[in-house]
Formats: sequence, structure tokens, C-alpha cells
Amino acid sequence: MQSALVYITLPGERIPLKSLVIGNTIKTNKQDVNITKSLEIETKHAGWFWIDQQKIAICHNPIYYTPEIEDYVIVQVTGKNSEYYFCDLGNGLIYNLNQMDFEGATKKNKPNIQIGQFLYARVIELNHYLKGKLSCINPQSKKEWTTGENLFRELIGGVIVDLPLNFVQSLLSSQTKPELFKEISKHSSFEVCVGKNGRIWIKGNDAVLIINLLKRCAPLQLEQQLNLINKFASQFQQ
Amino acid sequence: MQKIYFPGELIKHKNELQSGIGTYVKDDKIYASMQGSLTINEQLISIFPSHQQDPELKIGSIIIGQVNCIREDRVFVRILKINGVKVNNYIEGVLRKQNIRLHEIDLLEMNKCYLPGDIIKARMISYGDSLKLYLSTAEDELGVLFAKHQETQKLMIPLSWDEMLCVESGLKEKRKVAKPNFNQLV
Repeated sequence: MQSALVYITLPGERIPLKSLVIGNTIKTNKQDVNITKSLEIETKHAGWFWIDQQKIAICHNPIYYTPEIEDYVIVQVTGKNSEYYFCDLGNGLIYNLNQMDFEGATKKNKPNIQIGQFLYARVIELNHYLKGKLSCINPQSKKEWTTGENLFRELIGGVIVDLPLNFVQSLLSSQTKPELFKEISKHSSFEVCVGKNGRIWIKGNDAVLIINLLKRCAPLQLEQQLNLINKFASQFQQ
Repeated sequence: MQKIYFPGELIKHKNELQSGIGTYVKDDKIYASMQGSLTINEQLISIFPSHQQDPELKIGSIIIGQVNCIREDRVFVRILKINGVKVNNYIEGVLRKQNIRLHEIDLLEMNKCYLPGDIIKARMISYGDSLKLYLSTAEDELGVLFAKHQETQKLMIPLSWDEMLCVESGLKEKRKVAKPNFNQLV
């Protein structure tokens, strides 16, 4: 991400718009920021003020997930058309997924996904008045959907849980693999998938135990999380 | 005060009388079909309507309307004026994706053409099949006349065939814009 202004705001502060506008278009996050009649930006939350070429927002700990382009999310299918699947992101938003948007899919050879199934997909397009778009094509590899090895696919088996947004997004934003999962992998083997809208999928023999540990770990610091896992080392089956 | 008749109300038994405008005959009786007051002229019964009628719609007439809601391939428009005359009732029209412009219909994005709340100028091309008329904006002088900027909620004026400019803040947005009439300025 490019650098931003380092400035902490309180709710209710006013900043004139002319000093911030870089080009011809702006895009504001309506949950964080208002624009008043006299063309000033009025803040709604306390946090770090973020300005970019793409948006103006405030970084705080939100409850609801606001989607952005190139996010990897876990969605659930709620309906079906002749052309599209309707997928639920978890905060009242429903997005479209084209039925042919899998790698190597033709009209006679495309996956048949039932209603209620969970998928791992990528956000392509956002729209305020119409539904946004998702896709299951990975631009970095060419594996077809018939092999089970592509990145964006159905999640079969396993358990899904909803966790607080700041915990899940901190797991995704670290450059190396997070230490929490490294510590758990010393005791048992499992398969994990993390979605940016606050959902985690785990498959394995110890799935229920790992999920309960993650729920307890969410408000703690890193050292306390590792201590908590080591306490339960004897309870893992594998 | 004259009595006002409502649609479906019985006026008289038909005894060598003829039915005129605003009435119909059923089972040898004359009923009213419009809301209005009664006039009798030389054995002719007719009803004079008490509210203004809509202006006449012909194929090719210019329509000014407001966009109600948008879909992926259609735009629903509420009609405000027909050929310059104000409309008193609620009439709707449909603008389909292939009638918005002439070139590159496949690559059209509805976000960059019309948004709800815009005021557009269109031409009627057919009476349609169900309750809605078909419109078209596939000419230079048809399209968006006025619109509101999404972020600042201020008025925008046309800048080119593709863009509109917000007056107070200087920000731009994409629409399918109507060519203004330069002869009136001179």
C-alpha cells in the first residue's frame, strides 16, 4: 500500500475538501466519513486517517466488513439463476458469481454447486446500485477446476466459524506465515482457509478443538496465545 | 352544483337516446366511464371530464423523464413531459441496453451511463408489449440533462459526450450526456 497522511482523528472533526483532492475523482467510505453541504469532510470515528488515490477512509476496528477489489473471501451460495450464482458475504450483501468463471470451464463441463455450499472466491467489481461480481479464476496459476488443486474452489467437509474482524485481518496482513498456525501444526495436522470477511475454515481430526482455541485467542497478545496452545498440547489426538 | 358522475355509475335508461363521449351502453342502460359532469345535447348524452387529460403520445415524440431504478440491462424511467407538455399521471417507460447508444453495445457498463435520479431526454420508439413503453437515446442530442454528483450531492453540468462536471467542487463523473442546444445561446 502507498503511504498515507499520519494523522489521528476524533469524531466530528472538519477538514476542507480542496486541500485533499488529488485528481478528478474521489471515493469516500460512507461508514467513516460524511461530506457536508459546505464541502468539508466530517469524520465519524476515532482512528488513523487514511487517504489514497482510491479512497478516503478511517482505519479503526469496524464490526461490519466493507469489501474492496482483490479481496479473498469465503462466501455461501444462497440462490441460482440460469447464468449466475448468488453468494452471501456475511453482512447483508449478495454478490454475483458467473457460472463459467472457473478455470477451464465450458458449457458442458462446469462445476455443479448446490445451494448452501461454501466457496473461496475473489472480489472483482464493486457497485452501489447493482450487485458486485466475484470470480474463481486465479491469475497466477493455470490449474483446471477438475483437479482439486486450484486455489478458489468449493470447501468440502470441515467446520466454519465467524471471528472478530481485527483478529482475522491481522492474520492475513503479516508477511511471513503467522506464528499461531505454526505452533498448532507442531501438535496436529490440519487444513485451513482464511477469508477476509471474518470467516475461517478448518478441516482435520482436531477441528473442533482448534476452533475453540482460536475463539479464546482473539483478544489476547501473541505470547499469551502461544502459552494457551501449549497448555492444551496433550489434548490433541494426532 | 351539478352532480359529478364516477366510472360505472348508472345515468339513465336508454329510451331512444345516444351515448356520446365518456359513456357506454350495457343491457339497454347508459353508464358513465369517466369522472365528470353531465351534458345533454339533442338526444346525445356525454360526460365532460373534470380533470385534465394526458397529452397525445405518438411514435417519435421527445420525452423528458427521471430515472427510477437501474438493472444490468434495462433502465426504468418515469415520464414527466411529452413534447413539452406536462403529464399529470404516472407513466413509465423502459430503456433497453441495445437502445442506449450505437457503438460498442457489448462493452457497455450501466454505472457509467445512467444512475437513479438523473433527468434524461429520450425518444419513444414503440408502444411495447406489456405495461411499459420502449424508449431510445441512441442519438447525439439525447441523454442526461442534469444529474447529482454521488459524493457531494451538488448539481453537475455537461462537459463532453462522456463526462459531467460538478459545479462547486470541480469533480467529474461519467454519464451518457445529451448535446446542448447552442443556437439558443447566441
